[in-house]
Amino acid sequence: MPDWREYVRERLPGLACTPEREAEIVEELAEQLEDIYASALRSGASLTEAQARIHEEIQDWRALARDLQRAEQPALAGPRSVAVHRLEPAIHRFLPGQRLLEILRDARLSIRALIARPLFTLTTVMTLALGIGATAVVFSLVHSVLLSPLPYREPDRLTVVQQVIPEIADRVPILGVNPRSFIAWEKACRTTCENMAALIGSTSTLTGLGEPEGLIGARISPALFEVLGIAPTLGRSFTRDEDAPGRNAVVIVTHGFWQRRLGGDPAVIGRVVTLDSVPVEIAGVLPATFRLPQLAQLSVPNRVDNPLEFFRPLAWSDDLRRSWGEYDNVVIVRRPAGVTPQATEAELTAITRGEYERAEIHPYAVARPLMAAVTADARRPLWLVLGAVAAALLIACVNVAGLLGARWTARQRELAIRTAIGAGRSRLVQLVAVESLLLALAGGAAGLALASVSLRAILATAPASVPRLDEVRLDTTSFVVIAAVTLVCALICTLLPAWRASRVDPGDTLKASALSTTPSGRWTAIRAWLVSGEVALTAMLLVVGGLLVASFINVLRIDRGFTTTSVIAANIELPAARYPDTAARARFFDALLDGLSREPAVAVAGLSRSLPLEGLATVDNFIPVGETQTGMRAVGSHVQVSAGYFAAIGLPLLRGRLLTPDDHSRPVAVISDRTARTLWPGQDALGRNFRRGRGDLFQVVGVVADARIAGFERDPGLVGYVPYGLSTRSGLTLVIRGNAGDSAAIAGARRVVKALDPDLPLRRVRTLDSVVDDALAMRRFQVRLLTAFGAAGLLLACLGIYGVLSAMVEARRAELAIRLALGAPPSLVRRLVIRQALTPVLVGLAIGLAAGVGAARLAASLLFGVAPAHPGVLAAVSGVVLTVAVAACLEPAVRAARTSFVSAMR
Amino acid sequence: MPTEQVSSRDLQKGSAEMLVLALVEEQQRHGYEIAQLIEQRSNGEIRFRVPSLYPLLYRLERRGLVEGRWVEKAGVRRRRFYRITPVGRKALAAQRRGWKSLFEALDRVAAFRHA
Repeated sequence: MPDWREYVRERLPGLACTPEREAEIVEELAEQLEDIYASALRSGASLTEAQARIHEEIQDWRALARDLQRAEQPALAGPRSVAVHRLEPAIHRFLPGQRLLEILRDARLSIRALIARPLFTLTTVMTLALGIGATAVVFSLVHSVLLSPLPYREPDRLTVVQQVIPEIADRVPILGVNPRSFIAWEKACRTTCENMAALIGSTSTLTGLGEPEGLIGARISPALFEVLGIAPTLGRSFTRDEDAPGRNAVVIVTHGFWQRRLGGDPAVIGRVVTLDSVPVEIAGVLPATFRLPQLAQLSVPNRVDNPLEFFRPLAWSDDLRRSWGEYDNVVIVRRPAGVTPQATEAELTAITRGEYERAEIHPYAVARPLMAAVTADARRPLWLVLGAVAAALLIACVNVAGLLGARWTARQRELAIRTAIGAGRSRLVQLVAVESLLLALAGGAAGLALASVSLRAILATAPASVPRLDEVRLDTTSFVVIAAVTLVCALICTLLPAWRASRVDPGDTLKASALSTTPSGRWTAIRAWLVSGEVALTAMLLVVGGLLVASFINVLRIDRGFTTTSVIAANIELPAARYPDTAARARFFDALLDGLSREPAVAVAGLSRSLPLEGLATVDNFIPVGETQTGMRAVGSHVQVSAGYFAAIGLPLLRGRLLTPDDHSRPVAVISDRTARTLWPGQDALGRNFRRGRGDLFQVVGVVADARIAGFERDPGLVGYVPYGLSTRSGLTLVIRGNAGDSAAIAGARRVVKALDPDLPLRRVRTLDSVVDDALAMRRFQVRLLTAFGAAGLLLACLGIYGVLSAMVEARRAELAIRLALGAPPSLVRRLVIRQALTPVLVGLAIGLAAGVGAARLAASLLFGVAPAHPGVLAAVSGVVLTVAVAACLEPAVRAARTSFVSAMR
Repeated sequence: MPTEQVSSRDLQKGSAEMLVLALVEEQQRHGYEIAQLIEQRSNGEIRFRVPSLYPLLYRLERRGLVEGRWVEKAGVRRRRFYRITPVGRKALAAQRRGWKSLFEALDRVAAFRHA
């Protein structure tokens, strides 16, 4: 008889357990083998046959060792890998593969089960798809606009520099850079500047290529493209020599302009075009992808729908180079690697201080990263919208979690049977997870499809003032993030049902389900808390949305001081070559107004240096004559206008008189009410005199109402209207009130301009309503999205409330029936049901209102005229949520009150 | 009825467990005896070899469903006997119910008892 212990020890690989335990196992196995051997011999087998039987008993010692070891580990995942007779070897050898096969089989079964319940599946997938799709769109927007690097070489080293003049900072907090400072910086900044460029928005008239066309572009210092790290695709950049008056007859154009007006001619370099009646040579064509940074400070709107198209050298005159004023330029500095914007700021300020030592003002430099400057105004609104869409997605996930939970509750019997016949917890969780993942993947795929189809349409509703809109696309990062979001959704949707599944008690469930298939009370309670969560998120969205709506209404209610209906505006820019001086320009504009006054479609026409809300006026001091103080504090806008301007925009006269056509070259002025009260407090302003800066003296002849000329939400400050004829600018805005429709008025204006100067285009023809629309676009965008998300959340929460209440009524059928049978009035039962449903709603509402106020505090700068805890908004949100909640309760409550005793007891 | 989705692996795992628990419920038994009884009572249809039996026994022991202890008697070598624990009894009852409802379900569908 062999030594069986020795036999086992020789064959069994070492087990990772204590030597004592291993010895016990060896002993037990040896005894078993000994019994088998002995039994074989007893039944008449030969020694060899008995030996063969032992071999047959244990064929794979390594597999045995592995299984023993696994069995010795603490019980985590329940029974596994125990097999009965025939299939045993295969299962033992291919455990990981087996697991995969199992998952695939689960997936197949889940798909079949989901297809069998199309309504459930469709609801779930569409809920997720809408959530994920909206998130994908908003994320792409945020990612492309705020997060992805600007399309320049090493964009994080680029800095925008502006200047602050402390002496006037209370009125004009920040300014551009004046030529004098820039020249000093360029010369002296060595350690914290690699190179720098100045630029200023500019308009030009293109003639000689068909219809005259007004173009927008910029005048730039020669280093600009080098600073940005952009090389022209054709031709060259400007040379330093060309940056001087008289030598600057060169232009660099964008790819778009080259295609649009020059037919994409590859031999275009050296060709001469006429800009502002002056022949200029095309020096270069920029790459198709190039776009000038969209900076608000650029003085011409550089919008995606209307980009800048030409660049010419700055070519400052000697007067400009020496001036202490002219803070109009944008400066972009490329910092050396490792230098912070603060260091650059400090060095530039030090240089300025030296330069301005003996001046009356003491400007300093302010530097911020180019990215921050470009995205400044869009940053908060976009993050807010992203936050809102994330909340909406979360509501969708919670809703789906509720749906799935309900579904798995209905499948308790199945889970209980699986448990009873040996499926471990991990097995059940796997089953649930596979199904949730399938749903989430379907939702994610549908959401991405939805997003890619609707991206353009949704972006079309985004305000054109958002920078980089043309760069927005669903790129790889967006896909990765959306994939991650989908997985998180799957996880959220899995957690609850998986927890449910893992706690199935086969005994209880099967016992309970012998009677009915109603969900347990605990499960109903959990669903109620899910409803709380949904209501909280929804209320939060509605509070923020409501506050934005209230802000929007407040903005609309602002007394603008002017009217916009049937008012049209167009810019006119007189080329210096043909209109070299004030007299020539004034002659043209006088003739224009004269011609327009005879146009039948034009009721009234006026000219202005700047249009309301567009805020491009000359900012300078108002110095009341006779006062000793310097007047530095009384800074405001000086707007050159013609007599008809006030009537055209309906600006009401308060005192004195308006300007008349005879005043066009006389030193008289009409001032705003606020200006009158500031300059001559408690006195009559009429007949008083003031100076504009150190220059012209004006006599006040009238006082008009305050108008929001700088923007809806910006205090207009002081405004003086002076006749345009005194020093006529080359660019003025024509404002027309038509009396036969907008297009007739525009046609009339074009006719008059053409008769006076066939080479002169009307630029940026627009209605004043569209100017107002533009000014409100960002607010409208936010309001639209937030209310949409809020409404979607409300709908989902409503479905959630309905679902949980239906389940509850179903679960309490017997109890309710007994109550009714014992004489409880149906109204009591209805109240009972509604009260139970409203508890989680009230809890959620309270949390949501608080969270909404908190979120609104974070976004306080987006509110206008409302406090974050605005009682009206909070009351309205509570009202809406409660009404919807009660509506969702009604049907189940009525059903509860009608419970039939007989059917409930059956 | 969802039982169509029950995998054969679950069946195997669950059934093996139940068989062992049922045998040690009657009285305490050692491994060889368990294997023998299964083979005898199933008329040789089911056979538990060492690689199936011991990992299963150890796992049941770990999970507290059975309890094993060495029993020494004079003149005989010592043996490890297994007996069911109260937890094991509950699990066995649950499994029996599960199987019962499964069989009833199968029977209602396929009427195999009368086939």
